[in-house]
Amino acid sequence: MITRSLATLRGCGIVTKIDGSSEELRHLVSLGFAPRRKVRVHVNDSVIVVEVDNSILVMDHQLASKIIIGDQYED
Amino acid sequence: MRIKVALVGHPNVGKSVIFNNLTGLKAIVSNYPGTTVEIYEGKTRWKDFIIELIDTPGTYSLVPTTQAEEVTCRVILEERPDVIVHVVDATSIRRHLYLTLELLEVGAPVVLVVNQIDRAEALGVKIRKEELSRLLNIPVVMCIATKRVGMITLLDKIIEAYKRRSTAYPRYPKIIEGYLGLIEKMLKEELPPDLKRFSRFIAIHVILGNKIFNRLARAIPEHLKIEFPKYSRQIILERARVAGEVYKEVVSVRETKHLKLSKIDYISVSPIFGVTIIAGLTLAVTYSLLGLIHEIGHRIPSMFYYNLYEPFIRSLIESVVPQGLLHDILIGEKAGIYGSLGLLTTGVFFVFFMILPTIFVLYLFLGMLEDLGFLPRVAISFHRPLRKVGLSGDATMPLVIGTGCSIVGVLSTRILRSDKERFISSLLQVLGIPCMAQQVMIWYILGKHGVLYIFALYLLLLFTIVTLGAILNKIIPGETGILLLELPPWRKPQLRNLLKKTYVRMLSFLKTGVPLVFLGIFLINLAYYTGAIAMIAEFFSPIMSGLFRLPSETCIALVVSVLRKDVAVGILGRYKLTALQKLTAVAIITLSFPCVGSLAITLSEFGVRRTLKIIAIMFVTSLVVGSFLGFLSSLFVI
Repeated sequence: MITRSLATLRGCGIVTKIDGSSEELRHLVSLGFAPRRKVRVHVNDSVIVVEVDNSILVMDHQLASKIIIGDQYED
Repeated sequence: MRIKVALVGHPNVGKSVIFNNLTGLKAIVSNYPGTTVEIYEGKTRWKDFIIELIDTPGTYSLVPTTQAEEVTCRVILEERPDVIVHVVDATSIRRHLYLTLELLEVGAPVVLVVNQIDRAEALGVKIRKEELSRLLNIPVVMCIATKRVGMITLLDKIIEAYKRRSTAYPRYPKIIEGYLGLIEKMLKEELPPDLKRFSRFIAIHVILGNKIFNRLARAIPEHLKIEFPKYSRQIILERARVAGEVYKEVVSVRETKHLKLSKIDYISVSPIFGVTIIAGLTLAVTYSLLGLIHEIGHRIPSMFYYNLYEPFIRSLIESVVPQGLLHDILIGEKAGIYGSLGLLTTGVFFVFFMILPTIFVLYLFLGMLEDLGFLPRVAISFHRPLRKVGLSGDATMPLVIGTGCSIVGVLSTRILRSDKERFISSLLQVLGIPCMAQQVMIWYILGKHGVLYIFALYLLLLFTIVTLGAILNKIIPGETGILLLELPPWRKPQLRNLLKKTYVRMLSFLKTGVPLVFLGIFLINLAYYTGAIAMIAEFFSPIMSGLFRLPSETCIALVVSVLRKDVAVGILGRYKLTALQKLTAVAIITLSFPCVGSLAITLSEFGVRRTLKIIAIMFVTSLVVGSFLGFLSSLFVI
């Protein structure tokens, strides 16, 4: 399994872990980015537009780099 | 019997709509995360109970990252609701269950409201209500708040939960429970008697690093405190795991349907096109509207004022009040808006014939953009440019609101995550973004000389705030807030909500702004009458005429600007000034000092020390900009 962060993801993937401080973990988990959740990147440009649990969230690369993606899959 | 109920949930899940449905009160309903910064309270009678509802600001967690979220946590601890109603979005229920588990830890009865079930069904999401209720051991209500479906059941379930008073703490694995028990025991000794029943909740939050409990965390010995990060991670991940398990048990999805972004969404995230198109669109719509309002919202009422109102009120007062101080205070010395400053003439004209019609249309327009979901898209576009001035895209909303009124704008900075961002955003608003009432007057006063001068002023102010922001970003320590926004789906604005929101904002202006307009006009009139104005003019004369190249009597406008900047700009119409001098005077009025309303709100939000810093920065900025414009005035007579 090749891991990469959400900051470099294009397409779909599954969250494997959240890096960073426990504060960042808490923040991201409360928004829906928990291990084993599917995410789908709609736009990866100056910001990242990502779908998780039927919601669209926008974040910068700095924060997205804390979300580690394991399996990627074709949708 | 009274039941105190707190409505809690993520931003945009429909809390305010439910609150409005149940109480009929005017809570702001908005599409932008965190707009409901203030607490709204209301009552409703149901069966033999009076249900007191508190609508809390949207929050993702009880461990706050913004001031608005902190308010929600404080409401739960300080107001001690009898029942907590957690409103969740049926389409994305898994994300919300994390907060449900946090709320269960509070120890108060919780009712779970699953809203927007119609949208969830359209997306193929089916939720088994009974199973959800059984697993969480709390009542569950399915509803469609916008159609008032499920409201009666909700009231029944609130009463049921209140009567049952049962609480359901989620249990953690043994190792976490052991550590938690140890911390809880130590904290229990520190807690006042009324907080002892929250000891488990507080212990969890001390471990999680909730800053509200920083003081209590000091009571924990270092060898235990060192384990906080490790157990904090475990608690968070365990909650996420449980939320995921519950979701699996109760939700079935017919087929995975991905959400689709609109064309505007794609444009808004594009680095160059986004800013250019969104900014262009926003400015074009806003200012063509402003131009239109100036014509329709000002000219038509003006005709009514000049032809009907003023002749009537003047003849009425002159027939009963002889010439003198009272006469001049009421209707001024002579006829005309700027010829004198009567409360019933100039005051009434400013408020009812000029400012109110304009801000009504603009608040309606701003509310429509909010409800459509347009403003968060603007925030994304502006994230990159705003970072240069120490702000994130999240600051766009407070800045846009600041163009309406900086009092509300400064309050809206509570949604920002970093202190540095809050300070810079508030300062830039108070300093360089004229409020809507002032803009109306600017268009009236400068517009006589052509639109070019108005744009010159806006460019000058933009340059000033960008330069100042960049400097502050360099010198103020601390991180700039990260960008993390939820993009709400495009929604058709509901006329009822839109009118309610506009009404609340107008009412707020009538309560806070209007008395100050009248007070400003009254004091200036009095100062004129007593000769005080002449003394002030003489004192400031070296700066006004020496540096700014303005007649010394224009310092009256500067004095008035402390009370109302719109009135201050308006009275510039009294003086014979060149266009460039008017531009100078308007710029100085905008930059020199916060109006009294902004000053009060800045004091309450940032304290005396930082407010004094804001005043000092504004004073220096106005001196620099005013001197530059004064220099131009000495070169060109235009």
